Amino acid sequence: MKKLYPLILSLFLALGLGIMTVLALEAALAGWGLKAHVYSPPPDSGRPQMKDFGR
Amino acid sequence: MARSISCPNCGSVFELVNPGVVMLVCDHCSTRLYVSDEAAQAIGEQSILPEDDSRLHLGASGRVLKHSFMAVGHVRYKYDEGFWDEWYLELNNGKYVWLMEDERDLSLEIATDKDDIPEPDKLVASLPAVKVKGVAYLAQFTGEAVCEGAAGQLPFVVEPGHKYKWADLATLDGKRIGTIERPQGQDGRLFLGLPLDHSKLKVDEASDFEKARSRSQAKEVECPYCGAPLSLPKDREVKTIVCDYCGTQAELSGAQAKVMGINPEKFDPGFCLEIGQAGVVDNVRWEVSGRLLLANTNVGHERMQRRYLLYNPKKEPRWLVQDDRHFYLVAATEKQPVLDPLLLEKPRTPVQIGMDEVYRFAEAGESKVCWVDGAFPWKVAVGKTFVWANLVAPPKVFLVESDGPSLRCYKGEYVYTHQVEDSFELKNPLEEPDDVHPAQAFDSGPVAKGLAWVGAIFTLINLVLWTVAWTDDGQLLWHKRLSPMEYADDDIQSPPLTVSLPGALSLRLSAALHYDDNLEVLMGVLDKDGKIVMQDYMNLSGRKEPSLMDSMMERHGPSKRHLLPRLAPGTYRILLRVNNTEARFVTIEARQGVWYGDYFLFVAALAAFFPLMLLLQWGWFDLQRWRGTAVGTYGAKDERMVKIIEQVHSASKPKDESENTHDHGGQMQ
Repeated sequence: MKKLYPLILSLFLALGLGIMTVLALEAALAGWGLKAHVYSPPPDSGRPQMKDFGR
Repeated sequence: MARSISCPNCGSVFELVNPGVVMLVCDHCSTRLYVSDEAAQAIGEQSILPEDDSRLHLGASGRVLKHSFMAVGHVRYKYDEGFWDEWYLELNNGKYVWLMEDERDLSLEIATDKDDIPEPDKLVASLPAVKVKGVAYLAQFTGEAVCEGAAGQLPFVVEPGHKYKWADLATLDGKRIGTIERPQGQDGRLFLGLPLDHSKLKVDEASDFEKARSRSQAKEVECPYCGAPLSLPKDREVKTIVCDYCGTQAELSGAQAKVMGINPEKFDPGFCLEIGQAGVVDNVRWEVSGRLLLANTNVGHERMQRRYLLYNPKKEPRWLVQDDRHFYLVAATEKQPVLDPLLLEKPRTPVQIGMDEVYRFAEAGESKVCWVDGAFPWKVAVGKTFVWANLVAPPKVFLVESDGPSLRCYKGEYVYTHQVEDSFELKNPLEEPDDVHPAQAFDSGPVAKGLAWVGAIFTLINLVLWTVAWTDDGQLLWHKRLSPMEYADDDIQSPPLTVSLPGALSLRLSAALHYDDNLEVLMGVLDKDGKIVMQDYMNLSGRKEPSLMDSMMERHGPSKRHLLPRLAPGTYRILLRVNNTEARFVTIEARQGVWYGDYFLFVAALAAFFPLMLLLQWGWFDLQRWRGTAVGTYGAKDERMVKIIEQVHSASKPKDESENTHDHGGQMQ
């Protein structure tokens, strides 16, 4: 049984890192953490306002 | 063509096939005969050789290196540390070779013609002695020997009692060896050949008569100091035996036992293996034949070393060395270091051994024998000193020892305490080492190794994915170059774009801008119903000069990539509003299926923790390995040491000084 410890622990680590890698792959393809920002400059700044955008 | 010779003493007739035979000893009356011009002349007293434990005997047949042989001649030489035998073998191809046998080491040599054979006593150990056919042979040991006797047919005249200067030679890699013998007042003889493994020598079973004769000559010996009977092992050659009663080291190589030294009284040498204890190492059964306790002095620091001589009738002896709490197993080797490690001081200095191995110098020092017991095939006694150097290529260890002119080398491997416990089936566990031995290989254990492997594999996978994420630009959806006329007045809308791939949406914006100019772009993504599903803002600043890369890529002005989260598959449009009138043009490029790969770096860093920890452990271990060697404090300080050495100084002198041998060649072998 003692001889199996390294194998079992390695398998556990492989499983953990495997799950993390799959999650990282999913995150990479889904663009987790990326956000579309809403642009809102002060109304009197003369810059284009978001409410006007996309008319 | 065979010659017939008759003994002038007893009349026995001999058939001589070998034309090179110059001397023979009569089988019947043991008279030494000098063969000259088809006649034999008696040349002196009888020549009788005592029996020993050699596998060979005169008339023995067998096979050596694919040839069958018969032993037709035998000469024995006695030297400081014992004796060696030379067997003159007739091979089935009509050739003759010499089989040298020294302390169970075998070598096969043939006489080689060479002018200017050097004087053995002028040679220096580990320096070239002779060069034959472009191969340099280095001197290993030199000394003086006395011919003890001869038997059978020999190609030269041998006189018992005659003195010989000799030198053992070996090539750097130890694969070829040689011997120089120079009888007093005669020219030197050179023999060159190969070391021979016992397995390559097959001797036919001796007849019952020969076995009985061998048994009948077993010696009965008494301790020269206390008179107690000494029990000699019958199956091996013994030159030193230690009395069980008084601890006297008796020398047996002569006709009578002589006192060489006495063990200190009321002293426990602390050996972990008993004399006669058997163990299995590398599937070979070994028996502890002798034990030594040494006081090792290295850079002023003293520590104990215990050595166990392991004996197997078919193998060369091995030493199990117990250095503090560490063990290593070594056997004598013909290989030699390129430079003399006894002169080195700095640990880690690389030293080439033979042609193909490099070891690192670990430590050097002096050893004094403090305790001996058991039986040894060479002379050893309390009080003897020698210098040594340890070289390591973990787990391999190379030991060099010298007591003056000769250099002896041993090669072996580090052995773990649990291996010693298992091999010798020890009931009481040995003390585990609490430090690192220079020869100890880094062994992290299977758990750390397994985790490190898994970690390394996942580090690699994630780094590859990260690289892919960085280099994969996805698929082009829309590319548009806008002139000021196009972008200045109104929003720009892309044609309907079909988004189908998983991955982020990237928008690359570049513009030809003047220095200090600024470009603001509002962008939005509209679904097929015209509803804004995503919106963002990008800003570009002008640069003074386009970079080299910009010029090469024919890019003008600044460029920026912006990533947006993945969109559900469908049809979309991109809407842009550019707030700038200065830019000569603005380029927009939209891509789908872009990887946002920063997450892979996080996983890679996490996975790399395991191999990195192992690497750190290894580095720390290696530091420990050399830490003690540099200052000579390796190993636990043994407080009893000083007392023991004092005891050894006083006890090693036997009462009757006249009985003591004046031997300075007491190598540890």
